[in-house]
Amino acid sequence: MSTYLIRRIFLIIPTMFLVSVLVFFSIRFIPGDVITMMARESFLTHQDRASIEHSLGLDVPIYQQYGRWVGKIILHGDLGHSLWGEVPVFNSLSQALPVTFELSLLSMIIGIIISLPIGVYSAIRQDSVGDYIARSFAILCIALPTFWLGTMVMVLPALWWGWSPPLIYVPFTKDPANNLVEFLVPAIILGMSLSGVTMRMTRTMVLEVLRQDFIRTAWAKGLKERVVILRHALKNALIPVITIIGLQVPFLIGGAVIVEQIFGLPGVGRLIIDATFQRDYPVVSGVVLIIAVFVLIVNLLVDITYGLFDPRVHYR
Amino acid sequence: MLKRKIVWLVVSVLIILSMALASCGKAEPATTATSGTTAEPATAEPQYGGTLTLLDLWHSTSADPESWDPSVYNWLNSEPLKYHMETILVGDIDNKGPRGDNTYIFDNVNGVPASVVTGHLCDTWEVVDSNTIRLHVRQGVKFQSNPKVMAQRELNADDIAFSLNKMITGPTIASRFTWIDSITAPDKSTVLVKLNKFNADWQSYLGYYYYAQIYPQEMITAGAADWHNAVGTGPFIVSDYIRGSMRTYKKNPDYWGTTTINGKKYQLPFIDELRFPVMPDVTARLAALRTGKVDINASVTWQDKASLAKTNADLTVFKAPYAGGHMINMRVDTKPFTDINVRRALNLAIDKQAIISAMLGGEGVLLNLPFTSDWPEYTPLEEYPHEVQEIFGYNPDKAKQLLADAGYPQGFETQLIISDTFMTSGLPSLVVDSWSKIGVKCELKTYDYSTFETVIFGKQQTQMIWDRTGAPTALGALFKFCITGASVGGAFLSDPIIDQAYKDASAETDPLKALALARKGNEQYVKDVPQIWLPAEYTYEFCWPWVKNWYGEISAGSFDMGVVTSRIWIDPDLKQKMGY
Repeated sequence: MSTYLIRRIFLIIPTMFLVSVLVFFSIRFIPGDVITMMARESFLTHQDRASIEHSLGLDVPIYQQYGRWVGKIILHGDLGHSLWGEVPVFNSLSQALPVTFELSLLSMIIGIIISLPIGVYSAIRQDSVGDYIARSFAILCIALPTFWLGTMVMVLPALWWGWSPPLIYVPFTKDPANNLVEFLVPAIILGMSLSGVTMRMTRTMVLEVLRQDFIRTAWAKGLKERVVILRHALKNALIPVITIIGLQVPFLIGGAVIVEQIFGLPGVGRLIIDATFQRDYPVVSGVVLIIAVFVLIVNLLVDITYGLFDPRVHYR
Repeated sequence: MLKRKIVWLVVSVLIILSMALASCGKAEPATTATSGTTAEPATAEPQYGGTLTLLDLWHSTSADPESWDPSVYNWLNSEPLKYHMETILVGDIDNKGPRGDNTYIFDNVNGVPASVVTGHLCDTWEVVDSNTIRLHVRQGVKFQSNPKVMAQRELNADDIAFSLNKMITGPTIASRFTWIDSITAPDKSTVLVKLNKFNADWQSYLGYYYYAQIYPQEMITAGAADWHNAVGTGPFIVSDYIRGSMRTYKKNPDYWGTTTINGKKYQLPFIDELRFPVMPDVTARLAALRTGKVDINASVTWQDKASLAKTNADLTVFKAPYAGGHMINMRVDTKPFTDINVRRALNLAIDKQAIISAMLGGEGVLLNLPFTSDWPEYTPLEEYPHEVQEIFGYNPDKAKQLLADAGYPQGFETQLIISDTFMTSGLPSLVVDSWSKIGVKCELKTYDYSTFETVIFGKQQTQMIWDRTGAPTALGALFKFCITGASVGGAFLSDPIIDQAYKDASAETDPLKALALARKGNEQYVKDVPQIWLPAEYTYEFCWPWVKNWYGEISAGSFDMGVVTSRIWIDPDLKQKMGY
């Protein structure tokens, strides 16, 4: 297992190199000039422009800029500074990342809490009324766009009952209870959007496993339904479901961007949007790089989790 | 099992059909808000204490300051800094606004007319001659104490000279101040500004400009980008900041400012705490106002005002025309726009009155650019010659005739650059369709707003470009739109009459004479028809009735809400009585 882990960690390096090249260069190819945006209505002489470019490190060829950026990260762990205020990217990220992480984690937990029981029930009561309702609910969760659902949750209760979800972010460290209350509604919305696919996959896999011979044997032995499902069927059925959940992490972060906007959560999504509009290259590059690392680590953890569920899986 | 599947299928189809039928119902006609009260001048005794929660004036994703450092010259940075920092001049909202003689309603975020400017950190000044301005520092003003930066101390002329010198040498904005030779402090209470060329707009640029906040050098030394080091002379002190979430200010107990209500003088500010939640989403902003989570939302659009007035009739509402408007710049140095008949034709083809009645909620201003309609120096449309008034009417037949006279009997093809943010208004589609009826085929080239800014400030448009903006002052409007080489002059107009008017106005040391000269330049610009001016909508400021002593003012300078909020108080009994 340790050899496998070391090998996987080493494989991250070339992946990260490719990601770094992609994120660094892609933002710089978007039309729009940050210095023109900074100057706005001012007339800049060539000298002024050159001076600003120099102070921002934009006066060297782009490959040199890349080299400097990567060098700073590797040697000093420095993601650079915002072009618009010299705020270190790390500072902005350290404030935004916990918010997105909390939202993603809660959404994933809620998504699993919704999807697994319903998926299992739907499978063991196949073609019943409950199954049809569950499957319709799963399709609804997949079909309803997050931004629409979030907007409806914001607008309709305010109109009908004079109520809106909490809209002002309170850090967890300041007030854990209010923080969790604030995250509840957006996490449910995001969790629901993820749960649809997981629900259907769970149902399919449980149905497939229930048709296996070893399950027939378990029934023949007179085991209770709860034991057959939870101890024998579910463990085998969950392996592909874990893969699905792991693959949803990048979509979770993407979905979090919209939910963060609607519910006023100062997460990574908002940070990236603002930075992209401002053409704040270091912030966008740094944040996307960190997210990429996060996704790679999550995928590694997902792979390791297989071994826990399936003893046949050995990592060498 | 098959039967069950059929039943579910039928049920699903019936549900979908009923939803489709419901959505085909007759649309309710848009109604103009008739409910909502307007505030009367304060008669009640002001109350100290409480928290005022209000949404940022500029409802954008950049409601956060880019930096707390005032020498980061991003105009969006300006507003968050003007609660704890102040400028040397401001608009006189006590005497010239709705609570005074109502000369001006202080609804322009960018600036105030010269006729309403008054002293603030500098209480008096003299224009000694066309090369010298002397400013006198108000006595008794103190910088807030900040344990990380400095002990409380009195403001002096050195601080003003330091701050203003930093501004005029700022790398991205220095070109706006080439008319200034030096700013010095010959003594602790005098600031001397030496000019190489007089600029009649100096009150705006030095007095209350976006970047003209006054701060101590100690703050720069300590690290101004960190909000913990924020220091100013303002009515509030920065007490908390969570990026992307909330700015909080607490009352400055040693603030120098006062206001007079019903003949009695009161120390400012009234409220203990000011909170600005960051809410980029419009629906969230409206929900927050509806549910009493915020006390003021000063940026409600015409699309939402009727709904708000209907569901929350208790809310107080103020309205004012948007400080600027939509305009389509035609490159007058490029065919076919070199011919004024073509420019007039494109104007005549658009039914602007219909836009007001059908698209702006029934309220709008036909001509609101380059000078906005609430400026004293504005020229009403009725005072222009007939051929100018005519282009604000609708006459597609005459438009076709004008095109034919210009040599385009079959029309022509052209391109209009526009930002995606302007597309949501629905106006671009209407304009393109209107032009198609007179034979002008227009391609809309859409950019995201950041790229659009690069195009318009870089002057890269080749045909037409759509913009939505305003100007801080009359001279600022001429500089921004009208003169040869204007800073945002999308029309590339070069008219010597306008240039001379601007030159004469800038050099005039009497502010009222300067405005009269500037007015001439503006009138000439309108007669030249380099733009298509679409009607300007009204913006609506809503607040709960427990918010007192506010009359819809949104700026006493350039993004200066600090002066305004310091005069607001909350009636906690009324708030509780209303169930909030």
